[in-house]
Amino acid sequence: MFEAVAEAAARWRSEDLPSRRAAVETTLKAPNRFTREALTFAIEQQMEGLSAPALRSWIGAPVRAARCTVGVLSAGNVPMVGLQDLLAVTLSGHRFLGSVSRKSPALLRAFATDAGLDVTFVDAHMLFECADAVITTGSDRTRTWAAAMARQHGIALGRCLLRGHRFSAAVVDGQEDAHERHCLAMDALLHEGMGCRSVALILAPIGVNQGPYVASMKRLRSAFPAHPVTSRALGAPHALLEALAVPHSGSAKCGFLVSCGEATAQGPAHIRWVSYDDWQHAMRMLSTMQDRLQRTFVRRGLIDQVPPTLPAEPLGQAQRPALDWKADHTDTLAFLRAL
Amino acid sequence: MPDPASIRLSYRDVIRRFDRLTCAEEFDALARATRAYQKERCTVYRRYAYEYLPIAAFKHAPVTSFPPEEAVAVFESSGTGTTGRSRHYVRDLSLYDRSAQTHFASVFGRGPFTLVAHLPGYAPQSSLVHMVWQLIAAYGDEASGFFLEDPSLLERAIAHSRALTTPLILFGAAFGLLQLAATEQWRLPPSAIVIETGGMKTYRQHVTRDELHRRLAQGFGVDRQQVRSEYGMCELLSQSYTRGGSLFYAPKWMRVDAFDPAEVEHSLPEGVAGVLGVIDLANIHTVSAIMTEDLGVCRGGGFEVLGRLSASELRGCNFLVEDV
Repeated sequence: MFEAVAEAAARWRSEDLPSRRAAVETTLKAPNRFTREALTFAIEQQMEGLSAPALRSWIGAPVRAARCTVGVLSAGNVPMVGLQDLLAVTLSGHRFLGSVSRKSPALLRAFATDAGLDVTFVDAHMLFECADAVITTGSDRTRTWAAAMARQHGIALGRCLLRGHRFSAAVVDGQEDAHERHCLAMDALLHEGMGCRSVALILAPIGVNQGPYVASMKRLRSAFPAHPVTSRALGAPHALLEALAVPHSGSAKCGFLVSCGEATAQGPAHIRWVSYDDWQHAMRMLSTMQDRLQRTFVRRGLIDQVPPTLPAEPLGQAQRPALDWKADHTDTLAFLRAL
Repeated sequence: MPDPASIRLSYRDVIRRFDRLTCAEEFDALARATRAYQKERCTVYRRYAYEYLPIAAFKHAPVTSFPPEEAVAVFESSGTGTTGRSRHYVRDLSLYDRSAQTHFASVFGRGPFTLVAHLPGYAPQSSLVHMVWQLIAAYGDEASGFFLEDPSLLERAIAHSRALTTPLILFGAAFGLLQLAATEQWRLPPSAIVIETGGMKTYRQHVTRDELHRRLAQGFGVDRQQVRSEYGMCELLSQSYTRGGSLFYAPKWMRVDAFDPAEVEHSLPEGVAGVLGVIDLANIHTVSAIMTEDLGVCRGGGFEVLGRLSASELRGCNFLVEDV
């Protein structure tokens, strides 16, 4: 199965593959904020990591005994989101019963078909009727709903992996070079800043010049233009910043906003720039939001200065999650093995 | 009768007539007058290019159509998490009292009730505490009051209500009521009504409203139809109540619509979930058109609140359940 997935991934790296092309066109017509550029990036990035040795090293030994039907409710906010769950469930030996968002109805199905994986997709409500265990990703409401549905269908809480909504932060020290600033722009704006790994907050020392960072974002937008919905959606928050005289850069036309203020995550493509006194101050701020913080991104030279309680990765990795990355600091494979 | 749209109304007309509306056209006319007045008088609102002001504005600046130093009261939100507190500068408390009392009376009657409240953790200057005191003053009997550390007040109120057959109304924060219900099995009088005022988010407990009502009904020994919810917030001077189901009904001077979170100027048709926008005419001295951070859906003349919808949640997969 590892080889079949790897071979499908290799085929999917070609934009001309008919099944990929069809899935992309269907996805672009769905009610989401995916642009063609971002879709291409996401598919390329995901497929690049799916070699047979990498998959084998990640999955380890397949489940021999209690083979379960694992219901997976995938989010639809980022292209190819849910692929890690799909592979974890199927390659570890469980049965995959998926439900995809109407925002991204085609990509997972098409890839699973091309890889010859034995998967079934059903309506979200059906998922709970047929599954022995569930993995869901969503807002607090989704989580509450999923917990209630699991209870209703006799799925024990220990057999539910219910992920909440989170965001990520970046900490800069003003020493980032042009490449690192470009990486930060990718982390913050690719996929319109959607998804828990996207950078919503940039913590910077008081007095650091915001200009070069904003310039990198503007340059990024020329390669990855904002989805028209994002541009329109930025109109109201931009108007509010103007009304409240909050210092900010960018605009709806630019396809992003950077506003100064308290460490509160804003909407898609709206980055909050938060000033800190010293490094310890920045770490304390992040610690207070630990339950909502997915990842902390810093330039490579600063990784060691981030406490282990705040999982850190280098700038530029937000949209390039490793196969074995742990959403909500929970190991999906460990969850699956324990079933 | 002259066409209401053709009549030039002032903010004084809004103050005089908001709780005596007879038709939607009259609401529209007063809402237009309110908007014009507030766009002229409120600096933040004037600068804001859209109709519904995001509720977050109340955290950052005084949102008033009068000099804020003339406020007779400032209501503050509980300020959960890392965000600051909202501040609602109130110029005229009698408007709040009128709005709260009139709507309460239209839903539950004019009493007298044995009206007891359990609002642990709420500051005395919170708008909810003020409102409940006003309701007690207007419609409560001598056994009414707040109890925090003294559950015996509830026992006395139950006994009083049973003895005099005065209907008992138990008002409380959701988590406080749940905790109270967990302490012992209460037996409220058969006609009693339990009104939960929300507040579960503070405790990050994952309980649906349906489950909450089930647990409250069980804990207080009442029928589920007698467990109601109140929808209010410090930024608004009016409230809505459920009537035994999941739908909230607003007073005639308050209009609630759902809007597309991505394009907030687009209202959504009935049955489609979106962010709730409210026009509360009682907010004449601040801003009446407020975009909340609540996800909800309008139907059947009422609205259902589905959960919170902060800006940061828009980055995630907040509509997952609604969209799949």
